[in-house]
Amino acid sequence: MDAYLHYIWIAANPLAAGIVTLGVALGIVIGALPGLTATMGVTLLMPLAISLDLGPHLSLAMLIGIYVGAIYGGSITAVLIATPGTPASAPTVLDGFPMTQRGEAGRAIVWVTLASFIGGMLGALIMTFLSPQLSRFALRFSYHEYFALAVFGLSMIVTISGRDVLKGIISGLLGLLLATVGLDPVAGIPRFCFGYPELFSGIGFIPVLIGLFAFAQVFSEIPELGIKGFTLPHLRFSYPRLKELIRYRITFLWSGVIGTFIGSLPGAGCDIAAFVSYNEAKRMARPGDRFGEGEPKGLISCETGKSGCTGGAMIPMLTLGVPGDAVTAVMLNALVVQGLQPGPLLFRDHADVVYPIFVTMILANFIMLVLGLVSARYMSRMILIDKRALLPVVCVLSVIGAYAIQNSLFDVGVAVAMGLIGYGMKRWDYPASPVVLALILGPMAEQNLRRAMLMPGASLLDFVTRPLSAILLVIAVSTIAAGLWRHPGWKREEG
Amino acid sequence: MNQTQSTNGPAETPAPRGDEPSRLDLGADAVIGALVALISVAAFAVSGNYARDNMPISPEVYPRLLAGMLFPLGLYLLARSVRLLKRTGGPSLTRSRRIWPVITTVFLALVLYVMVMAAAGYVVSTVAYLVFMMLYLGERRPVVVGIWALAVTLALYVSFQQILRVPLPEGWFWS
Repeated sequence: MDAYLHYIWIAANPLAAGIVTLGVALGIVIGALPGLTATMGVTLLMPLAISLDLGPHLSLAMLIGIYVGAIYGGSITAVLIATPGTPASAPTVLDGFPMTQRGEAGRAIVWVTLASFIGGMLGALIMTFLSPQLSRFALRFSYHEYFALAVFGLSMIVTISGRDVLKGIISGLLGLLLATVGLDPVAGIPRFCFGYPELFSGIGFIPVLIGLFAFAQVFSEIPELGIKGFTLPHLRFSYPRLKELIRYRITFLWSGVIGTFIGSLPGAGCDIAAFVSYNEAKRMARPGDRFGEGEPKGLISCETGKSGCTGGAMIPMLTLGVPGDAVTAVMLNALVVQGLQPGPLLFRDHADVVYPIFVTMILANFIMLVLGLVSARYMSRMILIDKRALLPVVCVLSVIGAYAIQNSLFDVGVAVAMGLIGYGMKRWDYPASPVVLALILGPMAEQNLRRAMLMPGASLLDFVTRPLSAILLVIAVSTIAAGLWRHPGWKREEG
Repeated sequence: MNQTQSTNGPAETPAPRGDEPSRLDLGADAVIGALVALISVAAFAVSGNYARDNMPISPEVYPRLLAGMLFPLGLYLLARSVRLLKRTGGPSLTRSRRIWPVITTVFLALVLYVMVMAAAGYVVSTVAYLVFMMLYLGERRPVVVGIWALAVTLALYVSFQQILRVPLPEGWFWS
């Protein structure tokens, strides 16, 4: 009991609570600014969180705050001006903006805030109770199971590839190839370094992410500048009665569970969770539900789903060292940079880091609820910030963010180059998420495959004769087969 | 600084884009397909240098496996795009013609910014970069541009260099 109180104190002492509050506030601002995503925010502010030198828990607490805040903040602009601040808020527009058009913007914002809170709490609670069990189970894993797990994670590329699965697979394979740059993980032989010592430690993960998510986004936004003006709708808040909350209890619960489950799948982020939750709520609609015309149930489903995803995405990151989405990939990297390796051993060896994270998630959601309700009126003014002033600042922040990791202008060059590549990928529908997944899981797959084969009497057959490894590989193959079967991408020429 | 003003800069309203790929998109896919195939051939060839006999899975095997999977996919993308190109009529290319000079300028400005930062340091290069970018993007109020560029540069300098102790490039200006 004392240990739990100690963990709660680590997570909720005034300094920690202040850092989470700062993170949530920054996150809401980032999310509310159309064009700035949660991934971009967490990626840009990760060097700052580490530079503060507050230790692994507090730096992660700040990133969690930004994550929770940005996922929520993206819906403010979705409701007010039909412009989702983050991709995960895209379905929020469907019912949120019609409510604004009816003069119910304040009510819509309140629903969004409450649904985000309830979804986030559900995700955080499921994460709190499931993660320790999963990590205990994962202690049985050997090289074979970790290899199979990495393959399973990589198989999700087919699912998250968007409308053209071929392009998703190509992106993923290029990411895997990019991850082989540097010293080979077993023999220490430099691969694809071409004599540049800067490449011995591999292509930096954060510079690549800054390029793919921050610079690429800036390049995409600049040609769209000045397309339309925004008129800020009048906000008059009206809070739902308890009876209304009870009426939507199934939508809250079901969407939260769906969001958490989707979040826990490697690579499947909050945007997928939001869309699936919305579609599921629509499928279960009753006569009289007017989805797409300002139906609160529509708003609740996607908000609860995407916020539930935040807790879900933390589960595989903490227990298995496999990121649930791009944001948790950055968090995973933040822990690694500070000398911690996420996975089952983290629970055994660094309980003082991992258990407070659960409390932090819950705390971040409470802070998001309070800040959301108090500040939505002011946060909504974010949409008036001129992007001609904002985007160059994002570029400068990205340059400093890439530089601050190792004080290296080489990393900045990598980020800028990846920015142009990322813009090309965006422009021609090559998804960036498979690259992120590949950069994390590629080395994990190769390292564990080769280490398994170094064991005495090792054979490739071991991967299919060990039950856990075999099950994971069968799931991976089924995921790929199902994705290819139902995906229209291969048949594009017939369309 | 309100977004309701119209910009005088490079931004123009993009043409609506449907789900069907334009000829330019398909052409880009064909080029990317060919590039992917070339990259995979190069990676396969270069990986040969990493071969070692004393381990069950030599360091060249994994990159070669990836290159082996990439090559047919690159060729397939190329073939698919060429086949579609032959069948597709020609939607306008105007949007891309408008966009690429802007993207090229923004990208080159960024490259120049990083290069100048190495020589002239963070403060000088950042102020110059912000002023250029805001003017290029259509902000025409010199006082706003100047104050904003200086304020942002100094705020970030104090935050990172003084508070967070991240040593930003100083260049000849401070040394």
